[in-house]
Amino acid sequence: MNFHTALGELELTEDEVLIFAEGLFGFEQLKHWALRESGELDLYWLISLEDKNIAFVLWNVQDHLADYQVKGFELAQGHRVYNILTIRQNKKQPLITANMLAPVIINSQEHKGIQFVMQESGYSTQAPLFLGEVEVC
Amino acid sequence: MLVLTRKPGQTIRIGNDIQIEILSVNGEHIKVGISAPSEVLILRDEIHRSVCRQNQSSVIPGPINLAGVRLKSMNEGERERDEELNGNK
Repeated sequence: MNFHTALGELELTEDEVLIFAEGLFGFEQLKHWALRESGELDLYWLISLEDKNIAFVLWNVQDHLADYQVKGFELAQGHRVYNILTIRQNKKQPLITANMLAPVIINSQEHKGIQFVMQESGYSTQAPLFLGEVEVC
Repeated sequence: MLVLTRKPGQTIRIGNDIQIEILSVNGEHIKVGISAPSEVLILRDEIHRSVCRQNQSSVIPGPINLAGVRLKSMNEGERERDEELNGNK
């Protein structure tokens, strides 16, 4: 299957299409997504297959911060936790933050995903993580 | 909007499986107990809005080069952000 996406034309097998039954917060209508490795620093792309102007950059906070835990969601085998990064590109040294409050949880075995809010966790939607150069191609 | 008046200890039912009980009223603070099936999302509205807003400001509309992104420790990132916010960078 071919999709017009924010990252250009993507050819995906059925198994590579992730279903987010509830969409993402603020994007409830977008149910079909694809996860791609970016090749950089454990950064991933979450790409909408329905809106070619929407993609997110994801990172695994859990891999780098041992005490980051998902509470209130029963993680099973095949589940992987990602965090959406916010990259502010309007500065020379863009500030990059991670949404630790509402991780994206992907079940690669069932090809499903959900964005889960850890309501009482005290985590931030804008946890500062990176500083670096980001170029727009 | 449907408006109902309730006293502490009284309950409102929504459909077959959602119940909202007024537990206590203390000045401006109203404690509400909610029973609902686990698949029903219950969130404080301001948290819901902040997650929606954060997602909207995280959208990348096209390819960007991530090669220059380098990781800093949480504390380092936090300090630099504080400096930036305080304008004494």
